[in-house]
Amino acid sequence: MEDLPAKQSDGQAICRLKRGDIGGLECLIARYQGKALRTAFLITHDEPMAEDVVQDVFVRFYQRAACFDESRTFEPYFMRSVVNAALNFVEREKKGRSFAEEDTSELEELLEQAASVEEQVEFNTLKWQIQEVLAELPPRQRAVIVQRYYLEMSEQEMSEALDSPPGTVKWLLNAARTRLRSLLGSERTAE
Amino acid sequence: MNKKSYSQILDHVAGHQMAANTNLAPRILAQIQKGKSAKMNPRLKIFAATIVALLVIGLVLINVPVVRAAIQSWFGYVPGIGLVSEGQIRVLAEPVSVTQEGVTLTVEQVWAASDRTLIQVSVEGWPWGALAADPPTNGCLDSASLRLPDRELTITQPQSTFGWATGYELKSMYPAIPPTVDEVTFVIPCLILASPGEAPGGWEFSLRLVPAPADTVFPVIEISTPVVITPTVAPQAQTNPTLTTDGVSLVLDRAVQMDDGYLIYATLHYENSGLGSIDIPLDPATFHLLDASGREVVYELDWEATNDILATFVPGQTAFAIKTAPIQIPGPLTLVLTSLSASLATDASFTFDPGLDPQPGETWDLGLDLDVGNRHSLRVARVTYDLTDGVQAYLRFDMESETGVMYASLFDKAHPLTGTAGGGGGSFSIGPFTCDLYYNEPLPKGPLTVTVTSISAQFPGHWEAAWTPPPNTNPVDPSTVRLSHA
Repeated sequence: MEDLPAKQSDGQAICRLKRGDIGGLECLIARYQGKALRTAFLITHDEPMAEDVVQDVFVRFYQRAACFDESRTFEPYFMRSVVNAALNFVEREKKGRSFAEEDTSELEELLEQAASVEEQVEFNTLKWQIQEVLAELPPRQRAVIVQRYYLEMSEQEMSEALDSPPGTVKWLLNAARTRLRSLLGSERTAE
Repeated sequence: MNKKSYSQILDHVAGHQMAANTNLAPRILAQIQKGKSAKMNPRLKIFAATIVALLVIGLVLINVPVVRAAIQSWFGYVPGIGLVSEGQIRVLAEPVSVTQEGVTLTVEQVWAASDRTLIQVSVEGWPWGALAADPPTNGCLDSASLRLPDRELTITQPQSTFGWATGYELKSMYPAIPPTVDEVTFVIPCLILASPGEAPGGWEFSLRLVPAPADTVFPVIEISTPVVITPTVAPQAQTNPTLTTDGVSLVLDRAVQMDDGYLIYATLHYENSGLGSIDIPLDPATFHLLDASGREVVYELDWEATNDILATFVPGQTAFAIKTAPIQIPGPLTLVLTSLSASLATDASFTFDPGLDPQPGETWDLGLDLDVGNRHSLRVARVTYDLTDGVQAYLRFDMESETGVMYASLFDKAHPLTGTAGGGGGSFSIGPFTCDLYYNEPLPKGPLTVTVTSISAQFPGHWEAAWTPPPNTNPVDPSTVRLSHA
């Protein structure tokens, strides 16, 4: 038998949850916690905080699930919530620490190298570089990178998710790319 | 090497830095349980107690919604609110918005029926910074109320919400507003889950009700003598007299003629089957709607109507509603279900011995086949012992089944557990899946007896029910379906 489409499966899980069956929530957790954790981690760069973020979003969903419209797709809604909650956690945590919105390097170039690389050792090195340059970005710029390249959202979807005009998202994305390019350039020079 | 996508690369980047196999389920479920028991909002406590009382009393009293839903003939169907018992519906004269500190609340619609009132509110500009640090405990959960000239109405069902990045939509159900009252005040004390004092509160809206437009209510056709055919057990199942799908029946309850097809309400009854629950049938491969010529009619599950009837949950019944495409051929419509997804209690058990000194990360290949009854079996392929956060130990059982079991619930009756969880193949698809048992460290020593307390599986069979739409309404003619209300 073929697997049911994910949307229908999510609908069933939410339906079970509405009927008081906590197993419905367990299904959603099992299905989405991995991606949600990695999404939150890419933004927070703090694993315990990423776990808190995902836990909080699941609990919040549980509280609001009473009549969640199952005809809407769960995953994009949930991942948007994770991105926003992660940003919210980071904003609280930084407590006055400011990140300058700086020019960055071209992310596509770095990702393109990683996409095409044949050697595992080289791939691992590139992963570290991506991780490090991402960590240098302000959280909001990290969020747009994660949404665009990890969650593969369109700029319009990102605009809606971040409550920012499309122009702002475009600017944030471009600034993130430029910043990454700059950081990457510095690292290579140092090497 | 295949070229990797950027998403895959970022997945590697994150996964490389993170612990493998983190399972948040015990933490999440523990927080929910804690929120439910120790720190429940007083109003929610009262509400929860009321719901429990209604469920109990509802079995014997006619005026309880659950029973009423089962025996009442409905007058009409109103998109947005659901089934209504009388035709006089009032709605909001016009949407009302209030803005405070950049947050805009809009009462989008009110449906005032003779037995209940539904209010839909949207919130835009929800201030994320105002989210309580521990939302379930400290965030606002106070519900809005309706202030009438002589009293105040409070919610009668849990609020339904749908959130997005910048706001959420809220639907709340209240008792009926007396027909003589056309102006009410809607009061929202605070924004959901916001910290006290961190977000604007004290919202008030003056609402004016007017008779609903003529096309608001669609007539309901009660199917008073539903055709119920006793399930015909699939050939391979006939060899086992204990097949628990005996006694399951599919009943058509009512239909609503919409502009572009029918809304058909149906119920799977399993009160006497021994099944723990039956899922709403969603798989088009096993659930068909046929017209009089035997051809498939396109349909989809109508979640709005289904949600409406799920609110009056009846044990032993799974009710749902489907929306059909326009019916082209006059004659009976037949719903056919050839397999259902259900859970049932089991009491099979197996023994697993982790030894006297199990180490985190240790695995045991069991390859154990287990008969769980009702023609179903499980294979416990592997067991893994690990720690979550240094406080809890868990055993993960990798399982699969050749008989269609999609999920199993495990329990250790001899040792206290801190939680259970599962996943992998998922609860709604066939394939390998995992079941976890969580213990406080250290893991109990010596042999453990693990009980399979329930399974979810596909049960083959054949259920069908038919209904013939009134001949004067076929083919669909929108001009004939709407009622006028003065």
